Amino acid sequence: MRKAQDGDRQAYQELLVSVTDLVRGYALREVRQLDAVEDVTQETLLSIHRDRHTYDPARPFLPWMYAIARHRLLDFLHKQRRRGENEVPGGEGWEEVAAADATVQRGTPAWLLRQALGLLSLRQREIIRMLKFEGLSVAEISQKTGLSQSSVKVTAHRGYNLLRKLMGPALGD
Amino acid sequence: METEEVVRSLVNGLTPVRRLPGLGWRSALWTIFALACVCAGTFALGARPDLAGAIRDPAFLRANALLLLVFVLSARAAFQLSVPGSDRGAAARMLPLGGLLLWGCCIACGRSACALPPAPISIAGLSCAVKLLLLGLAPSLMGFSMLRKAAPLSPGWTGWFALLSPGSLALLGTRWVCAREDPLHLFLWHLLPALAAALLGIYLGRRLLARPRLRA
Repeated sequence: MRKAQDGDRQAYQELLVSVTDLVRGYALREVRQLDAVEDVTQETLLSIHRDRHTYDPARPFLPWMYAIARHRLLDFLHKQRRRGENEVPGGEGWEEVAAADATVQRGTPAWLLRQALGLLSLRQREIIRMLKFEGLSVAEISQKTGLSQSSVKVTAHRGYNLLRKLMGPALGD
Repeated sequence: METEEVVRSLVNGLTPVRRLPGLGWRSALWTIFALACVCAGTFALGARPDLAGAIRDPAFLRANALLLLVFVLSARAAFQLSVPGSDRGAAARMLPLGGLLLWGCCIACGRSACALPPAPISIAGLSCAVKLLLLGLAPSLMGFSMLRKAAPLSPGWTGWFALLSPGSLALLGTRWVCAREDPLHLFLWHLLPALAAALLGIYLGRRLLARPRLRA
């Protein structure tokens, strides 16, 4: 973050990618809607960007980052409660994951995979689902989603990387 | 917009920023400014005629030390709350209020040796409230302006401390100006305006210090 404050874009990119993963995981513990998780993640990233001048390099980064994430999450939950949206059933795709969770034993690789899939962005998860579970080709997915083939490949590749990162430690990699 | 696009646009829009000065430095700067303002204001309003006797009274000095402690603790709390991740929790938030209430107890329990005879409550005491507000005005404005440059995540609490701190210092200042020692006068025209100002701080904090929600 110190480098980002000085204008280092490469360091900032790496930082934001790591922050995105952390905030997604954090938000997912409280919000059971993937859209909402993405909203909270994006708002946290924007707040971090706006308030980056308040980070003191002499202090640890994570408490600063989680304080912002927690505030954005609480803000989101508060607004959601006010709108009564918490009574609306879970977001797109989450029910499938949740339902599948019930039949899979906790702690097994299959369970871990489902948890990790829940942490991917919606686009990553959908593309991996179409590629690996529905057996569609990149060209077919490109046609179906309107994304270019290279974009489909890049999204899937990033999704695999994230899955590897999330599941690696648990599987002893 | 996808999160990855948000990240890309933030990286592309990155510019170097000037770091916010450290918490200790900002608190110290504001504390010195507030002390200077209240000292100058107290001098301008004129010291109470029995001040020489009052400052020899341990109860008077104890009560003043307590107000000074509330001033420092609440200033520290306001600046801590203005930086994400620096909040010290509920105990640190309650301490200044506890100090102020303790001051109220001191006033209620201990009657100063040099106290003047109690006078009936009248609207004339309003001048003490006005003096208190005048003494605390400049430090409050400066405090809010400094806090706005940071990122308070709890604007209500930050606003409360941002006005409780100059309020307690102004309370101290008015004790050096007003010679009346009867507890009812002190509660009604000294403590209540300071607490009311701090409560107003919650509203002002939410209006002036809140960080708006951003949308991608």
